[in-house]
Amino acid sequence: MAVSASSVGTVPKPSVDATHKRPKIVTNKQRVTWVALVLLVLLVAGAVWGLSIGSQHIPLTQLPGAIVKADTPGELILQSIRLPRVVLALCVGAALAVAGALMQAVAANPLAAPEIMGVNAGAVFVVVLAITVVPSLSGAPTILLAFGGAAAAGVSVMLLAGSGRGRVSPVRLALAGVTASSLLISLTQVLIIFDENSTDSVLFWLVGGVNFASWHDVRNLLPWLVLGLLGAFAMARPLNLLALGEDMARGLGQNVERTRIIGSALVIVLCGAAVSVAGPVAFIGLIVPHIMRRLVGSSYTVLLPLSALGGGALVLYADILSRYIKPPFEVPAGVVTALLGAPIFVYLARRQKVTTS
Amino acid sequence: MSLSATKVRRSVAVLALTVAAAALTACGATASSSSPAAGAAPNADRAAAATGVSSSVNLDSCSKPTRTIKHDLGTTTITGNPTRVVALEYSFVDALVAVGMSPIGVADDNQPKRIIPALRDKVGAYKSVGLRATPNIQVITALKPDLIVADSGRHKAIYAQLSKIAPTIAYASLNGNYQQVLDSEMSTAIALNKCDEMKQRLAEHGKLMAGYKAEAPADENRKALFVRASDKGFTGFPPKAYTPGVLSAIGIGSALPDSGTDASVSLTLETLVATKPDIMFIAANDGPTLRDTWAKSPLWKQLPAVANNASYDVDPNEWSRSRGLIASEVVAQEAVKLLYGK
Repeated sequence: MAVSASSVGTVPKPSVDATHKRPKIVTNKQRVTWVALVLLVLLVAGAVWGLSIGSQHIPLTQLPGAIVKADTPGELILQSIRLPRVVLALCVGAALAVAGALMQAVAANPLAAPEIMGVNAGAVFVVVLAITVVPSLSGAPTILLAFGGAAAAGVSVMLLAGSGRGRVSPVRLALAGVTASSLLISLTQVLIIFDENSTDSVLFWLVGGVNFASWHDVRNLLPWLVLGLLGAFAMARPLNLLALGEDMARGLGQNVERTRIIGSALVIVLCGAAVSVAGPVAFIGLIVPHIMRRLVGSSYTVLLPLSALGGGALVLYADILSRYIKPPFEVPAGVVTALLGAPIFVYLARRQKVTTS
Repeated sequence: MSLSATKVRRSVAVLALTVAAAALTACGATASSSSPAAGAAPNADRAAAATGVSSSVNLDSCSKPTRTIKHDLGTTTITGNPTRVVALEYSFVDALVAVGMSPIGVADDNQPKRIIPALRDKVGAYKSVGLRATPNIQVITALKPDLIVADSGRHKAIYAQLSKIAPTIAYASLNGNYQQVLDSEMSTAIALNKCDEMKQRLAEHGKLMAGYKAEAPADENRKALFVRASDKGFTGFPPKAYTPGVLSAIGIGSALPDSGTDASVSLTLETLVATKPDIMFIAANDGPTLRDTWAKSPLWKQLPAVANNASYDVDPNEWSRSRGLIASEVVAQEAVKLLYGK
């Protein structure tokens, strides 16, 4: 075909171009559909896999019974232990991945991640503080405390970065975030050193995972997740404009500051809630948006929803893999995401260096 | 650039944390290969054998003016009778009290109440040298000790520094098992030149534990699980850990399988249900713990230990933090009282 087409001469050339162009647009749409479909299949397969493994063998035929009305021990285990674990993995992954994508847009830095804003560190610090210093404070209000810590850290970072000026420069935002993160991480370590009492379990939680998930955690996370995700999806257009560059976005009539501030607030909501129930699961916010960007391009209209699916899938599979490390005992999923994330991060960092130089 | 550097550092930190956690568990594993507790030592034929102590302890040095002490971080030569001793773990306070001595300095986490009642009165006045994880070298130096007893895991990094202050011997306490704790008490006694006192005390200990074991009915075959409950975790201790070792010495088996290399394992409610413990000893931290959440689940009520009212709350200081000869007698006594009402 190609040979015959070229042998004819110059006449068919425009038609070759046309056939090239049209499929290209369709391919992008098809790609999005395909990626979404593949992710959904992965999610369903992962959910089934996650539900079927554990220290007891429970046939999945018990699943309908477990959802409707759990009576037998097997159904109870499915209903009150495995199901919330799978659901929480999906929720936490979605929250962290979307927060990462938002963060990269807001900070205009492809290496930005929720950790950059000190949000995770803030949540971690307050939770560890609650566990070690004032144990009576933990329990029901822990999630609110952690959320408060994330918000306080995030807001103070934003104030630090933009105080006294109308503009919030991405570099200043990142610097302030890194500084706050380092400070909070050292303070957390001080707390842990001073209280050997709960070191083991705190270390476990610091790696991040959904091992002890309950419906209670899911209920705590869900309102914030819905708020954060809907807010993020609604921000897709302004974020797309922001991606054109700050001056261009301003020229097109965008309120860049407002976009940044709302975006940052959504990052705080998503991360604070996710970290308070599952700990700071590493790298999700960094690697998922990047993988999705390579697959479907950088339009936030599709990037954000697909990052949510991808993040959910990644945490779900990380949690499943973590259960094969030392059965029947628990290893936090953060171990697996860190092992996956570190090489991908190095790859991204190196590539970034090449393109900017 | 600073961004990527920080990210790398953070990723390194996360990895380091993981590695550290793995190393912590591995530590207990490498050290827990010695023979099980109780029973006569292989060198029992010798007139002055020590009851229940493994053959790795250098009993030949006993009562000599200059003694060579084998320990986890090498061998140390000690001359004379040390009197100014600094103990960097509660286990070593236990060893000193067992031979009628008391330390001049203790790494007590600045919480004197963590020294269990069985030891507290006999310890008398001492100077706190700070946290067990990070003892204060300056305070230790100022005490002018003539012997320091350190944890071979936790204090490995400062061992050289400690050795400059005074002869330092190091044993597994944090991740030590029952056998290792008994061995370290004997070795510490050799260092203190209190060989005969400790041998006598070990013989008493052996009799006492045999007595507790005799309290159990002949058909006792229930399996016990010892756990630490905290806000973010439910940690079970496998058969080779310290507390299950003590329980096994009084005839109570472990509900957890022998997991080989782990000093402790993290449990979910599902794994707990699968473990089917007949007896549970729960050492819970202050404040709400994961146990409180789980106790609401119908699955919790189906645990044999809960269904048969054989789930007991115990003091983490006595059952977990103070691993020692006297502490193990406290644990055994309380277990017998809880289980058989004697």
